[in-house]
Amino acid sequence: MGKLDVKKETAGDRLNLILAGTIDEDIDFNQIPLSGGQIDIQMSGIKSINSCGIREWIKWMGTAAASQITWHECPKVIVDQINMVEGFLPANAKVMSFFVPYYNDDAGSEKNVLFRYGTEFKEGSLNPPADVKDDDGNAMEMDVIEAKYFKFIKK
Amino acid sequence: MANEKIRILLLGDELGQGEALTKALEKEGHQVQHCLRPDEALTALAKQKFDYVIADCMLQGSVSGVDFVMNVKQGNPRSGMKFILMSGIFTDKDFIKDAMTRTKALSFVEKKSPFDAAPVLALIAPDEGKGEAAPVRKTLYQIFAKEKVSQREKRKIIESLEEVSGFDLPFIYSLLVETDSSGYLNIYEKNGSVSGISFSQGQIVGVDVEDRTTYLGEMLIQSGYALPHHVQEALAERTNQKIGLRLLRANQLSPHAFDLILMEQMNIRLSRTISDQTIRINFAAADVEASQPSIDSDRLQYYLHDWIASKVTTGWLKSLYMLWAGNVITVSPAFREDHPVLEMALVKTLHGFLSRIRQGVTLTQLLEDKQNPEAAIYKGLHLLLSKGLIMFGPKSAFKTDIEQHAALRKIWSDVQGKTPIQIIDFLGPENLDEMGLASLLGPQPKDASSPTMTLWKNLRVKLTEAYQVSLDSGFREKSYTEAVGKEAESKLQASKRMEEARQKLAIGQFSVAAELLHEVQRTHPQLEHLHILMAWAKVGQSEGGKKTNLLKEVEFELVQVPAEERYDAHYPLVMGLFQRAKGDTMGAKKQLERAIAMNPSLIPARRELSTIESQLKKEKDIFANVDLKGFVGGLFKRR
Repeated sequence: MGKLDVKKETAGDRLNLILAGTIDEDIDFNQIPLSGGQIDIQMSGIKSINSCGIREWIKWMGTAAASQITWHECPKVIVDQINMVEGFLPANAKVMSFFVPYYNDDAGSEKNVLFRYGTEFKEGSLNPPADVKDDDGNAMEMDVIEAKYFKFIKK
Repeated sequence: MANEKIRILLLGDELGQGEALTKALEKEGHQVQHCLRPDEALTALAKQKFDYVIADCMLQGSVSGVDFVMNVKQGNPRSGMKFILMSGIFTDKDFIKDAMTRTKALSFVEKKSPFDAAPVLALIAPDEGKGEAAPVRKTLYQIFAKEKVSQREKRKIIESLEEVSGFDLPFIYSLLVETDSSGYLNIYEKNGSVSGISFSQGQIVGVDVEDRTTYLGEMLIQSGYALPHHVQEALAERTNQKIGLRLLRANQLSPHAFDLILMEQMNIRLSRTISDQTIRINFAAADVEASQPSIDSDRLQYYLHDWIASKVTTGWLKSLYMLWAGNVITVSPAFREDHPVLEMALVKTLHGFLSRIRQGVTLTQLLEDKQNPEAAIYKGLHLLLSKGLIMFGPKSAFKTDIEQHAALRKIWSDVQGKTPIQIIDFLGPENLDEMGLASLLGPQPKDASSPTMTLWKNLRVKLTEAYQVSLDSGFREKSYTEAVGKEAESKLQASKRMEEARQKLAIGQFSVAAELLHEVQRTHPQLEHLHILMAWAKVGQSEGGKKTNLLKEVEFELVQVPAEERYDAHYPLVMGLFQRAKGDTMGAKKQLERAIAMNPSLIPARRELSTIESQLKKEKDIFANVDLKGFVGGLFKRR
């Protein structure tokens, strides 16, 4: 499967995929058929995706038009594509959780905070955690341009 | 969130400057509270949350701006506030370094006389705060005015970009290479296509574009790395093996030459991404494996030169530099006399350019000097700035009415005849508000009856009208739709004229062709093959008088031919004509042979080659028929 590790679990009509690694020109999504009424994709292990990977991803998602798809723990590289590429997140897919990078300038600490549907965000609105701290207790700030990063929530 | 105002606390006891800065910041849409004393500022901080604190280092009393910032940071460690220090007096480098280390402020702004708010405004770009992405020119090109920009700062700037022009890409590629970046730069076009550039530790290792035309055969012939008949034989073979591999296996191409060709192919693909289109980009850092062939920083600077020469239009550069026109250009700390960029055509052919920059000169002053063509000045300047060899210093105030008049006249000539929409495109709406106009036009001239005053007023009216249009989104949409329709029609006409010119060139009517091409150049300077045809027309006219000047013009036209057009048979044809005009018959012969190998039905190339061959034959016959005694005698004859 090239540089992408795929773990697959099936329970009845439900397919659970865990993806980790890089999605690039070496990917062959034909080897991961999308089937079932409900597909859950865990993405926290995805490190990067390039333009070839984006094209293949869109085609792959298009093969599951009849399923309900949920995306979990989307890293920043995936959120960026959702915001940038029309059709990257198909109409039958929904983001259930995604990571938001935080940092502390003084300590140089960085951390990814998970935003969950219904808690930190829902359609059209955002409710970030009031206080994010690093391991040493330093207050952290979001390391993204909010208007750019959360664009998909407002769509 | 996106529409919230950025809240700024300004601490400084110089009332006039404080008021001017407050006004400038408020005009940018920020909310400002100006305090004259530290205790007053502390009270304000206790009452309200601020996003930024701007503190003057020199304050009356025992507390300095640096002390104040340190106190506030200690008392509010989790506030997320950003701090900016300013001083017009404490500008010693050691002091600045110490103050920055102690306070970890965002930046230290040296106040100049007259006071210029622009450096502070640039720091409070919304991306530094929490709002929407700032206009690309403010974000990306602020680097041109900074003496030192850290690698992290450069990377952060690129990561913050979203919508850019295709003409911004050469600088962005260069920055990613310079910062030793690893990751993927994805480019999204309006039509939905996605391209991508892969970087591995500051080297470009992959270019993925949707149009994957290779030009491999033409490139091998043009470069001379493979013999034309070998390439033609390989192309004629019916096999699935790629042409390069076939030639390698047959020992008709060296592996090193093949790597060079593949690198050039990457250049062509990169070159195709550079166009006058609005695109969106996203750079995601990632571990990308190193691979060969790759484009490193040394190689990229040559490509950067070519892209600026051939792809980036003068019109776009004019628009980019309009607001910098009054800033003094200086050499940067990175400048060195033996830098390879100084030897490149765009810089080397500019007469007296670098010596004038060393003296401290503005762009307006450089343009007044008619020694160099305007396009060459803009392109040379852009190359040197992109490589960080020169930088913009503070804006130079107009010393005399004559100076202001010259600058205004230049702006007038650039916007004259343009519709409000075209002016917005040219200058960017963010530069047409009060603040932008003040920076662009300078202060109101003192003499109410002077021609400078008339020009200043006329420009204000014209630019303000454009700004009002930019606020009316309905009108803007309608005008854009109309403009797109007109543009398509006009491009069609220009293409027809180009075709007509091509036919005239083929039958040797060079002046007529040149006239047609000049017309095209005025409206569509980016039309494909324009520079090749223009060079052909000029080299055709160079027979006879004014030869030297025309050949210089031909050279400049050829420099502007984009990489992807150099593998059309017309390029070696024109190169051949150019070399013949310069007296290099053998060089011309080689080029014409290449042109014919690439396109056997290219009649002008065949005609020219046959003329050269009969000329060479004649010379050979003369040599063969010369009486040996007479020939030797001729060699030793006293002149």
